[in-house]
Amino acid sequence: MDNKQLTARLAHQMGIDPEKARKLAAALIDTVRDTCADLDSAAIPGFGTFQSVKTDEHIAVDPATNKRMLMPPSITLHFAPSVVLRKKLKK
Amino acid sequence: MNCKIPFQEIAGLMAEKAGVTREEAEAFAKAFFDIIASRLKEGETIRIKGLGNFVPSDSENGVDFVADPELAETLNAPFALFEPEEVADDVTEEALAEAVSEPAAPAPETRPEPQKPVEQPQAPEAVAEAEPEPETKAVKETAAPETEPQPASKPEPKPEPAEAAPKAEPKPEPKPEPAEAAPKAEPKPEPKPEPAKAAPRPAHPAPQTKPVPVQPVFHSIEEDEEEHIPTDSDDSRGGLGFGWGFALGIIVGLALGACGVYFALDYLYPTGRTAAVTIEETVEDPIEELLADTVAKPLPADTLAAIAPEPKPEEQAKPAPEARIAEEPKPAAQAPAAESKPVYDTVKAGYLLQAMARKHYGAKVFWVYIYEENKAKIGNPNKLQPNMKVVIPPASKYGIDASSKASLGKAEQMERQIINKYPR
Repeated sequence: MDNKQLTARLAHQMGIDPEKARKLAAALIDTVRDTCADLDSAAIPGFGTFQSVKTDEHIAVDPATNKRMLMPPSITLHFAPSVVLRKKLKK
Repeated sequence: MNCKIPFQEIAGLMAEKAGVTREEAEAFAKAFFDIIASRLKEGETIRIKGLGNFVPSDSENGVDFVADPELAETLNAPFALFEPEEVADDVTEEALAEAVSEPAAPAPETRPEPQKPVEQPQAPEAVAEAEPEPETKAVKETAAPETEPQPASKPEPKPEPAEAAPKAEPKPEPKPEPAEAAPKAEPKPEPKPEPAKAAPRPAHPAPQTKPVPVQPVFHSIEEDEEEHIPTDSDDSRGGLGFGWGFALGIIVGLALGACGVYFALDYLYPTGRTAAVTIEETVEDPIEELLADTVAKPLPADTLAAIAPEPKPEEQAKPAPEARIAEEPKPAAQAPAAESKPVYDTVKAGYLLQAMARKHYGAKVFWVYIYEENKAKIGNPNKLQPNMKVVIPPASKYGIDASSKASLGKAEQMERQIINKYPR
């Protein structure tokens, strides 16, 4: 399922315009993205938390070449599902 | 940074963006994720463009999340220009950290001369970027023209950065225009001192180039190094400090002892105080008086009363706690006669009804009768006012006898009643 299907389903479920649903979905994604760009975490109740994690510079061994490489710092987006979601998926 | 943004706030921001009410935004977001959750449960992979893919898995979490590449790039923008570099075998992470602190000092100094040499500008300009925004902008403008010639000189700085890389603990160059200034900063910008920390977080100019906060690791390493120095000096001073502390302790102890002795003596042999006569003082006096009593005929009540009403009760108090002498009944008999005129006492801090009872009657439990006598004035016996004058009733009025178990028992009973009525 991708964006279009999701928004269509949402529009149908909530009884709103598909265009509006698309706009809302885009706004939601943008909000989460902006939050994470600030290195904050966005918590969705019943679903989980999106968090951007900064990894510092470190030395790692490249398994392919077996060389010691200096890995630069990076920021990655992590998602941690909430307990509710985990339970739901386990069942 | 590192804040947990609550759902309401997210809905609020979303509502602003989409031009809807917050409630609508909240409802939409909830439904959005509910659908995702329910589809995930059915084993379907959800691909959200701009966010990422949610893939159901057998892991503990139940779902794996892979961020959208575009989003990942946006988030990683401050570090986008870095690439993994090979590092010599003998370079360790500690060496990297140490090397980091060295360039930090010279870097700010070179700041004033931004663009002179080609290689050097890497450092000062990079530093300049970390400085407060206005300066950054100024530098950036002067530096901007350089960006063109820069790429040409890129291969040259490369070997330098390769050396600088092991040294540099990456200091993200936040700044509004880091993207453009980034090519210069590419060869691992020098680590920045504290000021850079404050700089990164000013406004939110462009959506992608968000200032990234300074790494805490660098700061803590600096702290560790700095900490060595104070502890060393502490150690050297340790011996001296101990000696001084010991001497001080002895002096304080002696002072306290002297105070204690002074107060003890004062207590035993008060000077210029007629009211508070201590028990110990009457140790010799009552004995002599009592002996005198037994030898000769009992002294008339008046003389005893003339001496002072107080010593009388002391005679009772003294025999009561110590060995009972046969002369006990005598003072008891004399006491009521002596106290035909009203006896007063004053409440003081540390000298309350129980102390008074002990003094006048020989047992502190008889405070209840002092209380009874002055109930109207006292009210709650737990809340006595200092300097309150109270009447000490004669012992005979309430049948007070410190040596009588019955009298003591009666007083105790009364005490319980009063305490029940006026708990603390």
